Amino acid sequence: MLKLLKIFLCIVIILSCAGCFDKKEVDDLAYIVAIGVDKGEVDRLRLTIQYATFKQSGGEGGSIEGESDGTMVVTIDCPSLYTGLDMFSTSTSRRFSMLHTKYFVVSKEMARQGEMDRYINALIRFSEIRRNMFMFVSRGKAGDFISETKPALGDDIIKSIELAMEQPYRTGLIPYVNLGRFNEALKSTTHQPVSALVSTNDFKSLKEARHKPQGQVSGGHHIAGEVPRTGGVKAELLGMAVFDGGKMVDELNGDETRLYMMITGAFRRGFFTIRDPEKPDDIVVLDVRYKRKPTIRVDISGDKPRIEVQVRLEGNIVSTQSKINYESDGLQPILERAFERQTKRQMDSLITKTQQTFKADIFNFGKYVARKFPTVQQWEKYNWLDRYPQAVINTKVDFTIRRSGMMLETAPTQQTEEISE
Amino acid sequence: MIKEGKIGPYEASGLIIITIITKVFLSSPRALADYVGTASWYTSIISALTAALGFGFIYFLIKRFPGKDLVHILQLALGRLPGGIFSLALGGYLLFNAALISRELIEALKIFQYPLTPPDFILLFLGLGAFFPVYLGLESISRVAGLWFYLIIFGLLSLLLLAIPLYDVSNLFPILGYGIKRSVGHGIVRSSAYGEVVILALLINSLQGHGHFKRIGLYSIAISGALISFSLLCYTMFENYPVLKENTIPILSVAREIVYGRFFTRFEAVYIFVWTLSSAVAIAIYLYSTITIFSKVINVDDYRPLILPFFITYYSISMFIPDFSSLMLLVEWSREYGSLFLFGIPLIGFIFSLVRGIKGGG
Repeated sequence: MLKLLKIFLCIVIILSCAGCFDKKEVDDLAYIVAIGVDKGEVDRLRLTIQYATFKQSGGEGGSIEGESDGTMVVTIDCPSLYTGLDMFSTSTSRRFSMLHTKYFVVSKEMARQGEMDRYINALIRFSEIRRNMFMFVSRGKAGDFISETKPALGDDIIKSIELAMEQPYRTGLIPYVNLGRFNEALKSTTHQPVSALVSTNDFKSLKEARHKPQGQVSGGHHIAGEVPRTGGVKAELLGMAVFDGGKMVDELNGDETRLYMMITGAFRRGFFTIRDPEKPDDIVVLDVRYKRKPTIRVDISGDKPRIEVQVRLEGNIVSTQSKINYESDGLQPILERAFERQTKRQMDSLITKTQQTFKADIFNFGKYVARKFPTVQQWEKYNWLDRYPQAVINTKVDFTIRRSGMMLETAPTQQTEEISE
Repeated sequence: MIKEGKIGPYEASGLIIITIITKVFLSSPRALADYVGTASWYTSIISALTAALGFGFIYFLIKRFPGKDLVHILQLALGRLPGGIFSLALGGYLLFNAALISRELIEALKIFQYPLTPPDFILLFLGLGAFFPVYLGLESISRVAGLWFYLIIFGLLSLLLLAIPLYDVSNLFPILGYGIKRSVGHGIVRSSAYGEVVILALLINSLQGHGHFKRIGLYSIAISGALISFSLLCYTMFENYPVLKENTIPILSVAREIVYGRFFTRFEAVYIFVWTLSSAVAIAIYLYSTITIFSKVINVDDYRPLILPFFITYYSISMFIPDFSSLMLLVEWSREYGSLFLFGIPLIGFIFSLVRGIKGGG
């Protein structure tokens, strides 16, 4: 009897290993790489998805509209995200899967409506969605951004997107925000959400100088879609969107994003261009990184909360146009103090902007304030998000030049007197 | 007299620790975060200390009746019929817990992994995984627990440690959560989380003496307390307190966000493996304990013919729960009132034995 039972069980196990109700063959699915949401015309939402076709680009596969570079981009007007996916299936033989979705992009128009929490909650609830999916706000149509997101090098769109997501650590010009962190910030009592800002670049900024820089030398004062360039992929990531709860309230440019990253402890490295302190017509380029993580101290004993922010940075000299020997002991502090002054001024200006213009603690100072309260009830009664604009925030920047690159000294350029004059 | 065989201290501890920590893989961290906010990690330590106190009473009771297991002690202390009824109540609670844990696991699998598979189909395979060790006896269950113990602990700890970059110590504040009174209150009430240590009193004749019983019980509570508290500490650091109560399967949410470079991702595969192994061990020992309690109460020497009827009862209770909300209510009921069964019944036995002056080997 037992022998028969064992044989029966073996058969059951062998058969069940071949698959059951939820079996999914890898090539039965269409893997969505990106999801974009715009305001719909025919229905509530205009949903755009980009999915992998597993075809090599440049072959014969480009005959279907929307197909290029191994992906297909399709757009539909629908009542909700998930119904939209079902509606897409009317023209596709495979079931859509979001197991490998890399980013979610929502248009600025939608973000400004103040309903971000609705979409985020819908995404978080669905088990296929991973919370480390990136979160973007598109200044133009989300669908356009997805259509223009193409690999600049090689064929692999997924790798291209994944590498683009490492940009926050390479340049600091966009923040690192994924769906999970955005959802946490939406519901947090200590801070407000931010998101990376993206757009398509029509390449007109290079010719028209729409935003002519006034005394700016940093290069980071631009915002996604307005970088003066031509050629390459049109999709661009630069700056960040600021939210108050589920509503987008403002945009910050690349420089401001770097300062945000410095204050929050997320900054890793970036090239900074500043005016030469001795010859203001010339510039100095510095390769900057953290010396130590920032220190934030909070005092809530007075009427207004007081916050002391100390950012410690170090860097290398990359370029000095003036040929002044800042590498020397005597001159190095001049450059260090100049960078500290500029960074502090910009930092103070950004903090004032967050307090007075959009009244949102995006730096998560609240988490340091929360440490002063023993219980959740007392903390919630303090109502930090409403108090933030009244807080007195002092910043201190400490910068040290460590190295001067492959040149230890700048020798003077020799030229004839005629040219010098 | 049921021939249960002998098990060593390592296997017995492994069995109890796995059964206790299974809850951390399911929805319990979410419920605790809902009640006590940021204080869940030390609320669990309070629960463990309360459970150690409860275990102390069980130890003194067992010590008064050398060579007797809990069922026989209750019958001696309270009388044959009342003792039998209290024993059956304890057995019923363990069976109910087996059904709840199975259903919780099934619902979690349905939400996360198998949305189209019918729950009864998953339960059939899960139940069969428990059915055979129960058929083969306590030695088999404990050997399996001993074999998987390090694997389960390694799996859990590696997931929690790999997630270190996701943690923010600031999320532990406000440190007292919703207040010390609430934390201590919930800590005491939820001592049932460690109540499985009572199973040792049912298996006393398979252990190697009273000295081992005390040591195994205290080690089990201490180790599982440290593991659960550490898991809750990690989970609290993972997200801000308003979001902690959102996640249906908290530790799975942590595991899903672990990313190392572009290659080392999707660590939840480890989680599901560990999760299923520990649940299978927990369900097997719950079922075994229930069936042997029943056998001892009705004085049947061979418990094996009872496995199928109990398996059907367990299956039916598990399937009787209509939806996830009802399941959560029942799980909460079980956590809040579980101590009455797990520690209350032995305590009644202890008090009666003292009052009536009954002691000895019978």
